[in-house]
Amino acid sequence: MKKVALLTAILAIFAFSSIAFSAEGAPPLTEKVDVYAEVACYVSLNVTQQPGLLSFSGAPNETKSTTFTTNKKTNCDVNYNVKVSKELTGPNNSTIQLYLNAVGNKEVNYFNAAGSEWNDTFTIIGVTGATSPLAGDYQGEITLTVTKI
Amino acid sequence: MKPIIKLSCTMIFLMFMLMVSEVIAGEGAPPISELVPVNGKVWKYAKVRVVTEPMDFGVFSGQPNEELGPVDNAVFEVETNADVNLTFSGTDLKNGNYSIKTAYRAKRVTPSLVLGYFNRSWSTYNPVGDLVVAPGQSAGTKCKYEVIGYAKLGPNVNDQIAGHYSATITLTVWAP
Repeated sequence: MKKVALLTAILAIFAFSSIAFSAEGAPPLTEKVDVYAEVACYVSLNVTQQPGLLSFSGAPNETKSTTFTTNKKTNCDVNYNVKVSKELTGPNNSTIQLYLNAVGNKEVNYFNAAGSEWNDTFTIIGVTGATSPLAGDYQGEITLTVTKI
Repeated sequence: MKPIIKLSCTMIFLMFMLMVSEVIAGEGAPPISELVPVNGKVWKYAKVRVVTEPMDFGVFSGQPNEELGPVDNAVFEVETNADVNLTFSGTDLKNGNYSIKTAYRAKRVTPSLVLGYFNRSWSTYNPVGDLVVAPGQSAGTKCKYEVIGYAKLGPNVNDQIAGHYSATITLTVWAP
């Protein structure tokens, strides 16, 4: 047992010494350490121009439009969905139909690749019905949604 | 133990605030969502349409105090998106400097409601001026108004010369 322990100790010292000797001699000994980092998917979305007021005279079958713009920067592939609310709602639940970019269209979807910046302009269109909508103020909304692919 | 709980609560609150601020700013890890308000305004609007015309009294024989009426076929239709008032006005039948006393009565068709006389009252034919209906018609409605007329010659044959007589009925819609 004593012999084995002694032999083990000698071998250990020898191995340690060889490393030390190797590090000091030529060629230089190089060691590599891996470095890792991860950037999470991140999106910046701003409304750069708010939509203007849709002003209707009150006549039936009237169409009015306004635009708004958004700026988006993304470092990952994303889907961009823009959707208008079903309608503008006013006094006594009176409504005006609301569309995006074209009459009959309610939403649009875009693919935006990683590392890109997008400035998009959208047109909001309001259309009154066959009967005159009630006079007053109306409210609706647009929903902007960015989803990682 | 208490400081740990306090610290945990603070951390949770800060994380929550961070999430909220990201949503408001529209920045952060997807999915992110923003709401953009859209505002509209509808101005007061009304449309007046003549549904039927003319009101035709036909032919007076020319006898003194001859009276014709009621005569109809004068119907207006009003469509409005705001509360409006109505003014009915009319004139006597005229032929140059000669005139025939003419009384008009306005009535809403549906729901039926007699609104009153204008120009002259029947059967006295005294002048009454315009008929103002206020409040007149509610927002978001379409109503028809029927006008009937009565006309009476003067007490003397020479009060009216023979010939063609005409008058005008006017309906004015106005927002209060």
